[in-house]
Amino acid sequence: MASEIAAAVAAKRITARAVIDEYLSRIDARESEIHAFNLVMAQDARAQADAIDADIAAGRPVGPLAGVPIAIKDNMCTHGVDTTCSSKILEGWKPPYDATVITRLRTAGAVIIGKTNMDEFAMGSSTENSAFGSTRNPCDISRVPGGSSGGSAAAVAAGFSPVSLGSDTGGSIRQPAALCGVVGVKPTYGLVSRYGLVAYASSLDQIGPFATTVADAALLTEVIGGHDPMDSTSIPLASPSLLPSVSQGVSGMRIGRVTDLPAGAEPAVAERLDRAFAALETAGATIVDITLPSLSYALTAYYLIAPAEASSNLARFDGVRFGLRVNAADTNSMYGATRAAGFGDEVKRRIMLGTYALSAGYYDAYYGKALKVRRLIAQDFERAYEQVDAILTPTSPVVAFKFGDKVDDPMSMYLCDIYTIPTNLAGHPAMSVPFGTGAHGLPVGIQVLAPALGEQAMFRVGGALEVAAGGAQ
Amino acid sequence: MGHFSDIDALDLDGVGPMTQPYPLVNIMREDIELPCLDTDEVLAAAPASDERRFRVPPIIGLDD
Amino acid sequence: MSDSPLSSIVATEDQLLEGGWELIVGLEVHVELATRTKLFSGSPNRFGDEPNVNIDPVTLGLPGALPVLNRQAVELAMRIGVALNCRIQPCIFHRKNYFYPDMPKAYQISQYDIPLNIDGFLELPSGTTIGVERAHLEEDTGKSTHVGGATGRIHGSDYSLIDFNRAGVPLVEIVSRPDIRTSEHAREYVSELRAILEVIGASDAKMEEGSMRVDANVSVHKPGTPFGTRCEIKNVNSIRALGRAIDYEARRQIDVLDTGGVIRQETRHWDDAEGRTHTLRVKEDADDYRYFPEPDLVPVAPDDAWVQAVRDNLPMLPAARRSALSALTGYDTRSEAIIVVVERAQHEYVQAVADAGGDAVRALIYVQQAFADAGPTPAVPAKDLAALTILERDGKLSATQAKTVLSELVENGGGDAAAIAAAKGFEAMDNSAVEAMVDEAIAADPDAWAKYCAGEEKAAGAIVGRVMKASKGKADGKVVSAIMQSRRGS
Repeated sequence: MASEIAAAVAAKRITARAVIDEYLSRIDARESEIHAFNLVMAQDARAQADAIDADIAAGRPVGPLAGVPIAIKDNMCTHGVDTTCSSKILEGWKPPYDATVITRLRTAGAVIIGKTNMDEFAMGSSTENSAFGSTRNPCDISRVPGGSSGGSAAAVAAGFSPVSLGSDTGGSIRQPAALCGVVGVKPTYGLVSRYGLVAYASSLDQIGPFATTVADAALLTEVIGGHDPMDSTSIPLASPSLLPSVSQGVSGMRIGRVTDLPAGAEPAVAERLDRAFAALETAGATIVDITLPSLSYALTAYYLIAPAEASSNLARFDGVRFGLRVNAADTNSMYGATRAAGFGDEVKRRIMLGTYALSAGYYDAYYGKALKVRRLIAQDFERAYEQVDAILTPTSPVVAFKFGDKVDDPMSMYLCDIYTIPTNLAGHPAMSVPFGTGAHGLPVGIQVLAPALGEQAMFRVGGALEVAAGGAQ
Repeated sequence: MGHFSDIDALDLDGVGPMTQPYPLVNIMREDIELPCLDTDEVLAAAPASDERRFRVPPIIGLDD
Repeated sequence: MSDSPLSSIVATEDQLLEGGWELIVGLEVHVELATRTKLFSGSPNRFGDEPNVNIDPVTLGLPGALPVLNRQAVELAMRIGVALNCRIQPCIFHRKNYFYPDMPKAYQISQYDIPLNIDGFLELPSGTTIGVERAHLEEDTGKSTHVGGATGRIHGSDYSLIDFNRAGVPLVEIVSRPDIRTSEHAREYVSELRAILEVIGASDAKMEEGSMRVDANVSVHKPGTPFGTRCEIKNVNSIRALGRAIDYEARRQIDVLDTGGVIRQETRHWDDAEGRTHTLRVKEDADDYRYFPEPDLVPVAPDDAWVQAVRDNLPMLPAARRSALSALTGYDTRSEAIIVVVERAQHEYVQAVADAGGDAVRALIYVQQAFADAGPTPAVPAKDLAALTILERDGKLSATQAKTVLSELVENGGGDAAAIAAAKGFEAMDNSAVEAMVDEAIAADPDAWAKYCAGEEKAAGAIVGRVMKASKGKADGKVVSAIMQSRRGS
């Protein structure tokens, strides 16, 4: 556990170097089987750990995560270290700057252990869209870890790192967390800086932590959260205090049960949700039935808004200033050749879709309409949160599926995010907490939703679920 | 695009578009210089450069 | 230019072009703002540095970079809006998507249907008012140089080199309504706009340096018929070139239409050396820029206090300066003296001379005639000039004598006008002495006098010349003319 490591290192019961060596040896043992990482930064990590140890030995102050290893999804800029977004178009690219979250982690003393695999440019729900090969689910290596932050989820699930960072645009932290049996958090939009996060959909993307415990997830969120002047969409507030909420319990809280939730959850998953409600009731919460009628349109709205923004965000990959260039006789041809060679099929598909949704004559019918649907969904949530403090749904309708199961059926792949997408559209926080198992003994995650800046309520419920599931104390 | 027909049925008159999930206004920075990137580091990552500039093939078929 | 309602300005008879054609011109002016840093990031907004040094992740459009709006750019844009009598409104930014190597993100952050400043106007010194549709904020692109071709232009080049120092520099795009009816008005518009921008500190607005760029939209039609198809003229790098380009393009279009042809909607490049425009790019349809609201930026809604502060702190604009001088001297605001003196920013100096007790009209004329290179704060102390104006006004010096003393004041950076006049032996002659000299001159040159009496005004010169010679320049020319006229009886 991250907090235990931090305490032990600070108290000199163990060196940061010993910690990192332990995790690196675990990676050595099993990474070839799992392929969670695009890059393991063994040498760099040891140097970082040694520096922490030197500070501690000299009595210099160290941060709250001093000596804690952390794996970073490969779409966050790390200065001088490959940042590929699992795409050929960025293979070998070393950014000349750090993402804000990286700076905050380093200041906190965390030791970056590697960059993790993902669906290319965060587009996918299985990490099968990576240009560098898939990642395997540590719970069952014939199955996907989920996506797009599959590598970061698998790294924590396999014990390669106590915590990791992912990004979530339509469920890309929560869904792999559920499939791998770990905790995953998507904070309120604007709580964590996006500066240095390679953008997929600017109005939906958020960075968040994976951890083995709800408390660690809360601690990480505190460290990376809070106002950043380099991000105009960053909420002008200091990072909230979240750790105390984890053990506060749910006595007196009202938890929403969505009676008109889109169908599609596997029976075992539905059963786990019922058990979760029962557990919270036992713990002193009241369950309130609510409806969110616009939710059935969320998938459509998302698959217009996200690709539209993505088509614009990914236009900068043109072979001019960085990354892959395929030479040609003129610049226009160079653009075409570079992007044809550099982007995978799913990325190309979404760029085409997004371009179409924004084009003259179609804007109002597609992108323009989707923005209005988004407001309807936000209004539904607003009404619901007058009656409840948090909402529970399954995170994923299914447990981890086998490789190749959904690759040929994009619609079925998109449906993996049906419960997670609404919160991205609304900009609300949500987390996935492991809550028992489903079919084939595979992990099931329960999703806790809260209103904007409602992280404290969310962590209260998450902590209670964890206790009920028999997890951390 | 046929999958998107479900939202056609919705009555969206009077519903304003939502471009941003969290309503912020007037986020600005002061007109103060911040450190720049190292030119050598940036050009080293460029696919092609010449005379301290980024080099591209002839620009034809594009808007001026 | 937008497709908003057509202009309501109608050309006067003498403004129509040969053949009865009405010229319709709208101007799009891009202005680089005088901020320290760029519009959306903190790298320097500076001209002339080594290539690619004023760069940061935002300027280069690197993955993960995010824009943050420069408050000073908004302040300067608001000053422009107030100076151009616009309405300032809450606004948002849009992405304008297109590929070009000097566009690092492959989109430009600009303003589309909800810009900062709308519905303004600019009053030309000559009196016509030109509507200003909008003045919005947007970021500049990098600069490309094309290598290998004969002319340094794209066509025929082997490759291009891109410098991103300029990328991200704040621009305000000022779009006029198609209210301009003559090329002189177009030049006046740009000249006045330049003066305004400089006075309010928004930009140094130098066309030759690229901190002010002008594109002209030109069309012609017969009055009473719908507006014609317009062409956009680019690469106009001076106010003089603007006039020439409009004149050429108008004639070109008229020639086409007169011979039964049709104007193609296109962008044309002005070639100043050859004195002609030629096709750059045909515009069949409006380019699809797939505009959508910029999700990385939030709306800008300047509050009333900020807008009021901008209004309150705005310096006196050229039009107001001309009005002030007009009130002071009685000269028309459209007179050359006033236009020239305000252009040189010497209006305050003239006021100072008047404040020091000087004659305002004479001060204006002296400054117009003798202070061309003196700048806004001439070396000659206001009271020294004031003293000279009074000597002339009171008849102690003739106009010619005053002019001589004036040049000496200018050369020496001041002085005692009376003392200088005395040293030169200047004194005005009294009128009866002048009369006597006029009569002598008339007697000495009866031929010239006869012609003058017959109405040949030019013949006066011979008589006046004799009087000046005889008086060694002390006679006041105006007095001489008056005497001659009364002798003539006219």
